[in-house]
Amino acid sequence: MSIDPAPAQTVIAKLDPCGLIAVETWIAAPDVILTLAGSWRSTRVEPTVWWLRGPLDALDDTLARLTSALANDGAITDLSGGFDRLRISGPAWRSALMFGGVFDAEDPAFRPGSVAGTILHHMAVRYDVIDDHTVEIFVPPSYAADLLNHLRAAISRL
Amino acid sequence: MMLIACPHCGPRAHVEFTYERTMDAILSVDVDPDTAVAILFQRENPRGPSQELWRHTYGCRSWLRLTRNTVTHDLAEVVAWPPA
Amino acid sequence: MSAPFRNAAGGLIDRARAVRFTVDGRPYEGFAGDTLASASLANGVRLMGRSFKYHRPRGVFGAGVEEPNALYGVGEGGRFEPNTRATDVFLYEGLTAISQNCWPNLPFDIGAVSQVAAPFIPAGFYYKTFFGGPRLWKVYEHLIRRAAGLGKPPQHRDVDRFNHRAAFCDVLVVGAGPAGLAAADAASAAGARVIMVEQDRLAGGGFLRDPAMAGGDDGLVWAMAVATRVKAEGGRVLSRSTATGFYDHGLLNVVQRHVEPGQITRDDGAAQTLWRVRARRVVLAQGSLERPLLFSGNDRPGVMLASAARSFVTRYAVRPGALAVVAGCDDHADLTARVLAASGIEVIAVMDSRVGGRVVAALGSRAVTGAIVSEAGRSRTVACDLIAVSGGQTPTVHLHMQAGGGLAWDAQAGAFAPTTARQNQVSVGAGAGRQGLEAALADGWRAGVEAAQDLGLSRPMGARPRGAAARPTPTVSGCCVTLTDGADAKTAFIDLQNDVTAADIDLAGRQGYRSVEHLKRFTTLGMASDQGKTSNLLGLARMAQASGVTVPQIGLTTFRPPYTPVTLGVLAGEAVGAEAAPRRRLTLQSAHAAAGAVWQPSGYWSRPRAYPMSGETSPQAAVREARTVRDAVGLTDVSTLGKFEVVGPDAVAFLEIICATSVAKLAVGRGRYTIMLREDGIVADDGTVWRLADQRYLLTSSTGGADTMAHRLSYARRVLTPRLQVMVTAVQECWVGIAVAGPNARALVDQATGAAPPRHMSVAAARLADQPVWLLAASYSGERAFEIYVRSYAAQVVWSDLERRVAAAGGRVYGLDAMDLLRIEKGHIVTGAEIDGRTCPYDLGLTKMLRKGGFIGWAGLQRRDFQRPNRPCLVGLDALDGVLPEGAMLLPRAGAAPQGHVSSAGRRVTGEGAIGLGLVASGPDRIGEVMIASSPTRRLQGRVRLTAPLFYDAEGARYVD
Repeated sequence: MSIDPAPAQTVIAKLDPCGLIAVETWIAAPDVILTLAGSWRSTRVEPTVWWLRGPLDALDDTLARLTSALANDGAITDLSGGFDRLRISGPAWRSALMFGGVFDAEDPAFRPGSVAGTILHHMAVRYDVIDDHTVEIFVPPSYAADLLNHLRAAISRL
Repeated sequence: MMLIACPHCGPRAHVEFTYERTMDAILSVDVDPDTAVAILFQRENPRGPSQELWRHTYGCRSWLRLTRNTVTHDLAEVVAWPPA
Repeated sequence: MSAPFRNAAGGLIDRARAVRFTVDGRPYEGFAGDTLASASLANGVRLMGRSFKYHRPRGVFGAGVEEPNALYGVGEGGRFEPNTRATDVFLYEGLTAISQNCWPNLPFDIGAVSQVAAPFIPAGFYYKTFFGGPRLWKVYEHLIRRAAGLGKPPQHRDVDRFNHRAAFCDVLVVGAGPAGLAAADAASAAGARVIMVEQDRLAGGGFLRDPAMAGGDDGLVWAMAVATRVKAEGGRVLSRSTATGFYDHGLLNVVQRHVEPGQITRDDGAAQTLWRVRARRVVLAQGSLERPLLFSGNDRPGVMLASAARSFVTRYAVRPGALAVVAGCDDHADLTARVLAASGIEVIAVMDSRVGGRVVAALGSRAVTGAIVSEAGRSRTVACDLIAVSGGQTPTVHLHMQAGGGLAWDAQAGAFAPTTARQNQVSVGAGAGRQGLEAALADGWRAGVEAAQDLGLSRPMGARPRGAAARPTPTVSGCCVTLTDGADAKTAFIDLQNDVTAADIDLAGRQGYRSVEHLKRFTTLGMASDQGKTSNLLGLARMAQASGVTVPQIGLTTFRPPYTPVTLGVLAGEAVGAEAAPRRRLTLQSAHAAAGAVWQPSGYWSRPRAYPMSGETSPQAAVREARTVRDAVGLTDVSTLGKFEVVGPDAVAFLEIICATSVAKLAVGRGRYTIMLREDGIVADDGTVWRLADQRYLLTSSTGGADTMAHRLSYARRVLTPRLQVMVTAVQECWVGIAVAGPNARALVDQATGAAPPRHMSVAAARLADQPVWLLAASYSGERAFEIYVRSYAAQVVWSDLERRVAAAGGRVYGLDAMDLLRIEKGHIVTGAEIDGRTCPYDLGLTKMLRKGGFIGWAGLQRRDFQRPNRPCLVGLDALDGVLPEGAMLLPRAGAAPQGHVSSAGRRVTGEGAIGLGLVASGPDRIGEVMIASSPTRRLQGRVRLTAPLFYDAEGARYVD
C-alpha cells in the first residue's frame, strides 16, 4: 500500500451554490441537531455550531422549520452565498491537500464524515470528506479563484 | 512552528491559531478604571511557564488556555476556555 | 574522450550512459551517476577553484556536502546557482559550470599573482581597517570587494517553480546510512508511518564507499531492500532530500531536489519541494564528517579527506591520483591505504600519528607534487600527487542541536557528541559518536524499535541486520591540531573556504580572544557557505590548545538552519510575484472590469478606484463620478464591509457590550451609526447596527477591520460573556452590497423594488430584479442613499438591473476615490485615517454618542490623558493656497513644532479648492486659525484655515425625502 496513489482521474470542480444554514445551540445536544437536519447534510464547525446544507429551493422552508423547531434552544443564521464549494474527486485528493497545507489529510483517520477547518495556501478553508474518493472544500467566494488555481496546479504536480 | 493539541480538533499547526493575551490580562466588562490600567499597562513578562489565551481561529474557532513555556515552547496543557 | 583516471570497471556509474558537460566552456564527458567532481577528476582536472581571500589554487577536498573548495556556478540564466559544490551536483546532459573567485581565469588568476608580493591578509583585517577610520576603509573597500566573495549572485529572475508540501509521520529518519536504514526498517516493520530522507541520490551512506557487511553481504543491496520494505508499508523514502532545519514540536524542513542545480525540469514540474515534515519521533542518523590534518600547504589540490578518496575510488571508479601518501590518526589510514592500493594507486607512505607518522608539508603549487613526511623525528621528502588525510570523525550534530539537544565532549573521539534531547529525537550511529558498522546497525535498529514502542506500536519484526568486525574500530584519535616541527602555521589551513589558517587562530588567542563567539567573528572561522563542516572543531581545538584549556571550555557556536545552503526560491514556494499573497476578488469583478475600473489594492482586496472614460485621468474621473452623485445618482460596490449577524434573546445585551453607543433603544427596522472601542479607550472601528427583526441585528464594520472585528466579537462572546444566549456570525461574504446614492436614488429604488423605500437610517426587506434583498437607507456620501444587500450568487442580475436604471437616471458607477471625496466633504471619519489607533471618541467629536458605561473600553476611556485639553482633535481644513498634502504636518508658523497632521485630503466636489480633515491640538477651539501644512519630503507646503469638519449640507437637508 503506497501513500502516494496515482494522480490519474483526480479532478477539481466548483459546485453550484447551495443553501447553507448555521445553527447554534445553547442547550441541545449533537443528536438533536442531526434530527433537525433531516435530509440536509450537517457538519460540526464549532463546539456549539453546525452547518446544514441542502438545495437552495428548499432554503426558505428549512429556515422556517428550523426556527420553529429550535424555539429558544438556539438560533440560526442563513449563510447561503457566504462560501463557495470546491470538490476534488479521485484517488489522490489527500495528496493534493498537502501542497501548501498544514493539515494531515493523509491520516487514514480523516475518513468520510470527518470535517476540518484549516489553512490551505494561506486561505482559511473547511474540509468535508464525502467518501473515500471525494472531499469538498468550503472557501469564502473572494478567495475561491485563487484556491482553485492553486489546487489545479497541485493536482497537475502530483 | 508549534503543534497545538486543540481539545476539539487534535494536534494542529501553530498558524491555525491566534495568540490573544495572557490569562491574567483578561478584563471583565465592568472592570474599574484603575484596575484596567494596571492590567493593560503594567504586566509581567515572566520567563518560563505562562498561562495564555489562544484561539483556534482557522479551525474550530474555539478559545483555549495554553500553559506554554516561553523559553522552550513546551506546552504543558491545552484546555478549552472557559471551562464548560 | 579518454578519461585517464577512470578505472575500467566498478563503481556506481552507468557506463552505458555518457553525459556531456562543460566547465568554463570546455567540453568534458562523464557517466550518469558521476558528480561534477568525480567526472572532473576522471578527466584529470584537479584545479577546481581559487580560495576566497588569497586566491590559492584549490582542488576537491571532500566527496559530499562538506566540500569547502570545489565550488562552481552551475546552470545558466534564470537557473544559475552559485557556490554549488562539485561533489554535490550529479551530472546531467548539458551541465554548464563556471569557476569562481578568479580573474581572468582559473589557471591564471591575477589575485593569486598579487598575493605573492602582498603579505597575507591577517585575521581581523576588516575590523582593524574600520578602526583606522572611514577614509582608510574607502581605499580598501573596492579592492577587497572585488577580490573577495564567494561566487556571483544570479542576475536573472529564478525561472523554476517550487512546491511546499506538508507531511506527517510517526518516525522520521534523517539519513539513509547503515544506522538510519536499520532504524527505518525496524520502525516500519513495527507498523509506524515512516519517512526516511537522504541528501544523496542513493541510499546507503557509508556503504557507498565501504560496502561490506557481515558474511560478505553487500550493504547497498540491503539498503535497497530496506527502502523497498519501507515504501511497501506505506512509508516514504525521499532521496536527494536534505533535512535542513529542526524546529519546534517535531517540525523539520526537508528540501528535496527533483532536478540537479541548473537542470531544466520535465513537464513544467517543480525543481524542488520544501517538505514541512511533522514527526512524532525523529531518528537522527546523519553520520559523521572527517576532519582534515594540519600541515603546511594542506590546501593544495591533491590533498583530500581519506573518506573522499575512498568514495572516488569505490563509488565512482576514479583514481584521484597515482602516487599517494595516506595520513591519519586512527585505523582509517590503513583502511584507506588498502582501498587505494586495490584500485591501482601506488601508496608510497602511510603516516599514522599514533606511531609518530606525520605530514610536515605538501609540496607543489597548482597541484601536489610531493610531501615532506616525518617518522620518528626524521623527515624525508617523497614524490606524490595525492595526500589522503583523516583527522578523526566529527559527528554531525546540527539537527540535534537545532532541536535544543545538549552535547558532551568526547576526548577520545575528539568531538562533541549528542547527550540530552529536548524534543522526541534520538541520535544514532556515527552521528551519535558510535564507532564502526556493527555499532551503527545495532544503534539504529534499537532506536527504530524504541520509537515504535513509544508510540504504542509493537508488531513483530524480523531480525536485526549484522555488521562486520572487519570495519575499523579506531583506538586513539583525539583532535589533532599540533603542527609538526618545520610546518608553517601561516599555510596550515583550518577553514579552507574562508581561508582561516592555524596562524590566524593563534593570532586571535594572542590578541586576547577567549570566547568562541569572538573567535568566530574575528577570524570568520566557519562563516562561509559550508558553515565550517570540516573546520569548526579544528579551530576550537587549536584555540583550546593555545589557551591551555579544554575544548568545552572554549565552547561551541550555535548550529542554526539550514544544514546546507538552500535556494531562496524553495523557501518562498509558490508565494512569488502575483501569488505572493492571496487576492480577494469581488463577486462583481467582471462587471467592474467591463465598466472600465482602475483597480486599487485594499488589503487583500482589489477594489475599483475609478472608472475613467476616454481621455480622462483617474483623478478627473473621480471628480466627475463624485459630481454625478451630488447631481443625479451613482452606483458603487460596498461588498467588502465587515458584516455580522447577532441573533438571540441576548442580542441587545451583547451589542451594548460591543458598541459604545446605545443599541437598546433601536426599534425593529431602524439602524444607526456606531463605534467600537478597544479596551484602552481608543476607537477600534466604526460601523452601523441595524435591527432586522426582534432578536436579529446586523452589525457592519470597516473593510480593513472585518477580520479583527470577527476576532473581537468572538472574544467578547466566548470569553467575556459565555452565558449569554446569542449567536454571532460573520456574514461578510454572504452578501454583495451595492450602494445607490444621490438625489435620484430614492425614486430609482422606488421603481426598482415597486415599494416605498425606507426612510433615512431605516431598513426593509424587498425584492429587486426578482431577488430578495435588504434595503439599508444609510448615507456615506452626504446624499440620500441606499445600501442594497443581495446574496452573492444572485448579485449579478441585481447589479445589472441597477446599472441600467442608474444610467437612465443620468448616473453612473463610482469608485473609491469619488467615495473618499464625498465623505471628506461631508466630514465623515474613516478607519485608517482619522480612526488611526491613537484617537479616542473625544478626539473625534463623538462624545455625545457615548453611553455612560457597560461597554468594552469604558474603563480605559477614563484615563486622565484622554481629558488633556491639547489632545489632537478632529477639524476641517480649508486650503488657502490650493495645496493640501495628505499626511502633512500642521505647524502654527514656519519652523515651529508640528501641532497636528492632515489625516485626509481631497477637494470640494461641488466647488473648487482643496479641503481635508485633520487632527490638531485643541483643534475645535482654534476654528478660523491659519496654519501651515508642510510635507518636507514631498517639498509641498501651503496655508490652511481650520474649520468645522463639515463642508457640505450642514443641516442634513439632503437626507429628508
